[in-house]
Amino acid sequence: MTMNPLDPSQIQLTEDGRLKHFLTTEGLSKEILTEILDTADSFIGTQARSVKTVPLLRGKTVVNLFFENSTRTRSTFELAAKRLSANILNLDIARSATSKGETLMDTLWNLESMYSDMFVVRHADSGAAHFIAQHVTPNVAVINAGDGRHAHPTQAMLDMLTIRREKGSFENLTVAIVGDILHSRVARSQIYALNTLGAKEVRVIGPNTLLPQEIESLGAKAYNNMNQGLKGVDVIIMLRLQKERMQNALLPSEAEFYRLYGLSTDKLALANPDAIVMHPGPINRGVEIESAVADGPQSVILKQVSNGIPMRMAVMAMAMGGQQSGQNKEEV
Amino acid sequence: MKIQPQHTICIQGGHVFDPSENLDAIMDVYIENDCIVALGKAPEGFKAEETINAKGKMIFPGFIDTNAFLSEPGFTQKGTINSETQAAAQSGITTLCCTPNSKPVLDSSAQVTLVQDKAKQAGFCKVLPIGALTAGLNGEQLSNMHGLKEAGCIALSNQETSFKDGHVIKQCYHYAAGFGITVMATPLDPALAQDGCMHESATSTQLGFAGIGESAETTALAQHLILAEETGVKLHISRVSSQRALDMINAAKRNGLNVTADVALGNLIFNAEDCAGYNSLMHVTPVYRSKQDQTALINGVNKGELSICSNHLPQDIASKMAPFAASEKGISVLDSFSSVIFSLVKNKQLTLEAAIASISSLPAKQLNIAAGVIKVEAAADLCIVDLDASITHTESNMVSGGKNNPWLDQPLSGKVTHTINNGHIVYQS
Amino acid sequence: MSLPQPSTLIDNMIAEVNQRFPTLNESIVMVGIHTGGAWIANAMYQKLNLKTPLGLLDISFYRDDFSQNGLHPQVKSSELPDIEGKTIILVDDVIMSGRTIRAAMNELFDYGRPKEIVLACLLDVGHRELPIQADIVGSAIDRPSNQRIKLSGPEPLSLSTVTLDK
Repeated sequence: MTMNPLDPSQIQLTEDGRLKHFLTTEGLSKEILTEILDTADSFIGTQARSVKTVPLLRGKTVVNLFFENSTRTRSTFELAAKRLSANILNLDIARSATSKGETLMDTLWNLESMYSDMFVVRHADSGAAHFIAQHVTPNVAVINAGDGRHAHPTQAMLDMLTIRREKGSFENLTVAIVGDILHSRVARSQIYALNTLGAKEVRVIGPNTLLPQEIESLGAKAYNNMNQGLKGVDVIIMLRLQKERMQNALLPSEAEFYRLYGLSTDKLALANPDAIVMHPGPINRGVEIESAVADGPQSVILKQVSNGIPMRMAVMAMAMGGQQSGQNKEEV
Repeated sequence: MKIQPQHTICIQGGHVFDPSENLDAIMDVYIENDCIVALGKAPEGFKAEETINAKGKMIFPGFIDTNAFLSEPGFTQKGTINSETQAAAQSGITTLCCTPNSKPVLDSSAQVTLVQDKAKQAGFCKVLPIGALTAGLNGEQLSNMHGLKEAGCIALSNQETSFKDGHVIKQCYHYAAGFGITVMATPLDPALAQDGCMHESATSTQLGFAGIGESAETTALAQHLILAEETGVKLHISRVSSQRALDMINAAKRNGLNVTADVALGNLIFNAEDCAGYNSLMHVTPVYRSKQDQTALINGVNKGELSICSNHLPQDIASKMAPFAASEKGISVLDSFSSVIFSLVKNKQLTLEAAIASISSLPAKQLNIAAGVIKVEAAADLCIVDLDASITHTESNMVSGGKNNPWLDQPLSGKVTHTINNGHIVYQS
Repeated sequence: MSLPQPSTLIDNMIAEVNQRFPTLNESIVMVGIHTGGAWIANAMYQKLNLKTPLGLLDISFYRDDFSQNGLHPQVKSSELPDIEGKTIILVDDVIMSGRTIRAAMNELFDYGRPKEIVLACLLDVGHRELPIQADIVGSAIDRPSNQRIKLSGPEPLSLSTVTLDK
């Protein structure tokens, strides 16, 4: 087989193996993922200071290119860019205006002629960030802020950061991801990252209608029964359930879903006593998780939120750095 | 077109190969006007105006493609009847069935005649239109089926559009059966297919796509087979994509149903794993399924169960310059059609006999086309092929208006050196 | 040309610190620059009777060569005690262009406003590109511009010469 030039693990790295785009956790080495975590860790230090800004990306222009609305994610990227001293431009482009590829390309070319240095892309189509990374001019970094059902690597990595800070390492961890795996880009990115970082076992728990075909091929053990799936687990990641999933014959009702897959105090007791509880937010209390658990001592949900900024700072700094070093090499 | 009173060609020293006529030997071929007049020995008094030296080359019947989109009318930014039939001629195709999904759709005899006229004007190959089975391909009302047949449609099809319901399918088949009209169908249950854009598999999960499971094809196929049986219509299943669908068709045949089938060339070459990396050239209909399906379809061709069609769908660059699911479906095949098939023969995946039959005598028989055979008094539709030569298509040397060809810049083995259509050399490399 | 022993130079620097600051009270904070400067600072800190914890500064986020080299792959977190209104003894191994010290001072000011910064360096090798001078110097030596002096450590500390090819 010839090497696929579109191979996601190839397109993200420079020739000497540094990050230049961040599109997916799939195919990245343990070293790179660890470097991302280490860098984010050191940005956590800067976030406790009175001056939270570092001058790393001074003079650079970051464009938040959001084809799908998400105020939360967009705001964390915006704040991360500002704390790196970059200029930031927010573009919320309604999906309807760019339903065809021509318009997406037109949008890109327009932005490139404004000399942007980085695109942070959120798009409803799986593969959109890859597409943009393939077609932007060289030296423009692309960060995937969520594409379709495919990947949400920065969210997955901030979750990895939270796990590592709580548990120290990944080696002996059993991690369960619970809920709507089918539509979850975060779950896919988490499964790849956890396996690469050396987690002992990754489980996905949900009804068959919310588990994608051959999910186990990604490196996760599938469970329909949450009580069985939570046994011996060190980390529980609850996923958000969109209300519209009740339609389209995916689920009978919120009540039945909560009864089977909601994280209650009773179910939590089945996991290891020191298990931590995570959720990417925003939480549907009483649908995915009981309030007492979400606000309880095992919950690290708020820590996830505060790890969001340093993680995004780390990824932006590393990708921009990779683009910079590549640029200078070309000039030599 | 100029009428030439007497035009003669002698093809010397080529290896004539037509499994349907048990021809497999080096012999000369004599052509007078649009007919083959002799094989082996020259007829008395034959004087060749033109001689082609085919030493070391194969002579095959002109190929038949049962499914190609010619872009015209309506989509000339993607290609024209002239450009696409020229691309077909370069692949040795002399008979081509074009699909009805042009703009306007081929649901009136006027549109059908227009396409035929343009094809004749271009002169590269005979174009047999597939007419629309429902008016405007809307899937609701019957088209003027009889009028379309009279105008020259080889078959009628609803192409990619779905039917409103089973009742419409039944009524279409019922009506068509009464006039001996062949119906082509590509079964797909739209509800089961949902918004999928590739085969439901580990790869679709990995890429984050809704998948089209095999059941979307097979449950719809069951309905078509049952309605064909009930109405007695002659049904041709166009572009089978799964092993299970092929098994069902074979079972129906064993039970006496008059059903035939073809497979798109791409489904013999690619499988779902090739979608990895979001290559928009792998965004097609029908979808590329598993490796196992791919192997089963190749076996189906080897066993003479499936003919091969190009499923040619040229696209302009802008249509493919989009994220996978948002890109337009389809690949541009005609330029590379026969070379890709010869490469399958070279790799020992297809036997030469099955390969040639699947693009000549088999589709001719399936759709009742008087073509695809080398014999005395048959139409002089031939192609001459150097099986040992290699050919590489590039964006600049390909003829089709659609550059969405997945084989660009890859050397393929087997090169058409001449294509003769109705006794005229329409392509010479 | 032989290079001096770091331990001897460190002793000189300690003596000079003691001379400058006869009483090492809570208002004095020592900060080492990652990595070589931190080793020197640590060695000095062991022998000085400072009342405040030792600070560590990683200036990766403040370097002015990010555009050329990108981000350093092993960034450490800076760990500083409160520096507001304090006297900082900023320690580095080798001072040359002065760019590291520029970055370090920028970072220090993002943590607070020190009263005074005193710069202590093990070696001064000249070739300054910015108007920055060390207050306490272990030793000043001349080096050709294609030579770099590398400190290995943390235990034992030793100096060696690296010649850049170009």
